[in-house]
Amino acid sequence: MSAGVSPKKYSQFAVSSDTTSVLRKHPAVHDAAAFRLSSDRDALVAFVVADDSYLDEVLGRNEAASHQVRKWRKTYDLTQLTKAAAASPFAFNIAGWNSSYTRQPLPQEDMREWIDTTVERISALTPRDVLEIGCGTGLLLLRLAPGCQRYAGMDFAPSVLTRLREQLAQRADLGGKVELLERSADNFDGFADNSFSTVIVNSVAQHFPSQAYLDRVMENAIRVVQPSGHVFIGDQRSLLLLQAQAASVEAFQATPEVNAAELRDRIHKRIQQEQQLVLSPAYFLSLAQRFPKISRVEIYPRRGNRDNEMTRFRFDAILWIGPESTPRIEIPFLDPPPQGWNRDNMRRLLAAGKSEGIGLARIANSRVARDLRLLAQLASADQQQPLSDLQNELNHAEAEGIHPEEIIRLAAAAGYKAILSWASCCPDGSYDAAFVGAGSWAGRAFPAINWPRPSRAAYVHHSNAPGQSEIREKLRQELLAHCRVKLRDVAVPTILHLVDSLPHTGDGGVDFDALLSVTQTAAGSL
Amino acid sequence: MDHKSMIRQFLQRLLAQKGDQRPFGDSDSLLLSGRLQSVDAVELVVFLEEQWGIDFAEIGFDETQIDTVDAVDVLVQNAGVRK
Repeated sequence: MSAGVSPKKYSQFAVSSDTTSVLRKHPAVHDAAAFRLSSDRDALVAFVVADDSYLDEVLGRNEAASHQVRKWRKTYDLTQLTKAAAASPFAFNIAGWNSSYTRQPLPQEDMREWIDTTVERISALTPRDVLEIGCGTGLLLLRLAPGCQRYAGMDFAPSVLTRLREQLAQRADLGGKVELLERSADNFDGFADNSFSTVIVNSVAQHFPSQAYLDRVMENAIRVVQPSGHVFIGDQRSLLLLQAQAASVEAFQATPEVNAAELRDRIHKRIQQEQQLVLSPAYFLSLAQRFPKISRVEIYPRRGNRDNEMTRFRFDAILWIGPESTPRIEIPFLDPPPQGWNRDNMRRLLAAGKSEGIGLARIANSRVARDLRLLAQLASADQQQPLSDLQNELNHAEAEGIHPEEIIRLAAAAGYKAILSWASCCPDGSYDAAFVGAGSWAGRAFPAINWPRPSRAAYVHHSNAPGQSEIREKLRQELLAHCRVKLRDVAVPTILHLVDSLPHTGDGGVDFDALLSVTQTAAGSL
Repeated sequence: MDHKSMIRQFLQRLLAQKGDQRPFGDSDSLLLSGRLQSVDAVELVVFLEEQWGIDFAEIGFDETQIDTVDAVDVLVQNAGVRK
């Protein structure tokens, strides 16, 4: 339970101590805060962080989670019973990797780039003793294991491991160093503390049933990694872009005559029925506060020139374990000019550059610009306006933003190394870039940069809650009923948000300004 | 209730869980068209395994096998023949 809430008065709201106190006494509540908006005296907004064990045991989340894991296991098993899986070339069994847009297998070129960029990033961490959670058909394992001393691959789907064993049989040289284990991702039985240099969780966490499950995996992953090692969580879907992704896929699948109201409805439904765990980069940043063993967290957009859902909407998070050994590069970060960053103003800056480097904050991201513009159009479109009209406008709109790979090329041409980050958690997919001179980065693959940090509000929602809408609604109703019994009608919340954490100010109190901004963002979304 | 009615009823329930009340014919695509997702397909597979003992590990799996009511019915009939 966090520090108390004083009944302070703010200009835009008044803290409601009674409601907060009553909510905090309910066993399902880990923490809570409530306030009344000055702009609407009837609106009493409560934020509640639910107690994990209450959700798991009393409301049955554990059971729902087990069911969800069984479903995913079966899904992956089925992919390996197909003819495509049986006929896969060595180290390229991509059966089951389907596009959300077309529902067809992703193009091989996309998958090759996805594998290459992932292997390159992990290799730069110089892994020696690896534990890969969810090794699947070995797309990473078969490429990384030759350079390692030991490689343990875990997967929960028996058919997947059978296929991988068939492939491993073709590489006698790997037999002695690779061990395959059929087990769930949260089963770390037998793994001692500090026993691996690298834990890899690549494109797997989205199949975890809840954030609580991911918490267990992360806690153990951090425990088993040695000082100076890493936890690599790759290809993670971003919660900040969930709405943009849903809009993008629904618009792709809709026929041109579908109108704006129907499209909005489909986007809502897709988000509501999302089966995968989708996380904000803020979740991984917050791990550094919980685990002293972590010295640094980096959030990188995916590398790649191919245009697909992985490059648009996903990121890699890397946790540095043990004391930080890389000197931090301190560079000034510039806010974007009114017209935003573009090739011209960026080139000028780089040409006049400083030897230690320079940082540019919030570069609009061309990978998702069209999807974001569609969302903006939908927010203001007439109900009956057909999608064909909206797409017509999109096709004639000026191209926005800069592609992350282009930034890297621009920097190289000017004699800099560019490192890109999503650590500031901008909700519009924009990214920060550090342009570091050769002398400063000294050949390091992952220079430590003083990245702009996210606002406290970014930590309020870490994740969606796939498959938990019924449980969460039940909890919400239970808490409101509890308030009706214990409070006067006027003190019962009119809006009750279930959140992942409450933001706190430097003195330990609840940061109500940050909560207010969350309320405003929610009101302004589609 | 005959095989086909049971299959239809099960698929109807799966669609309803997703808020999809639209009618569907016996030859209408449900999986490849996107009305059902791969995780829904898993529910159907488990139903077929439990109800009629269909073993996909033995016969192999392809989404077209369970894309329509008619296709599922063929699977069930073939399972009966094998038994």
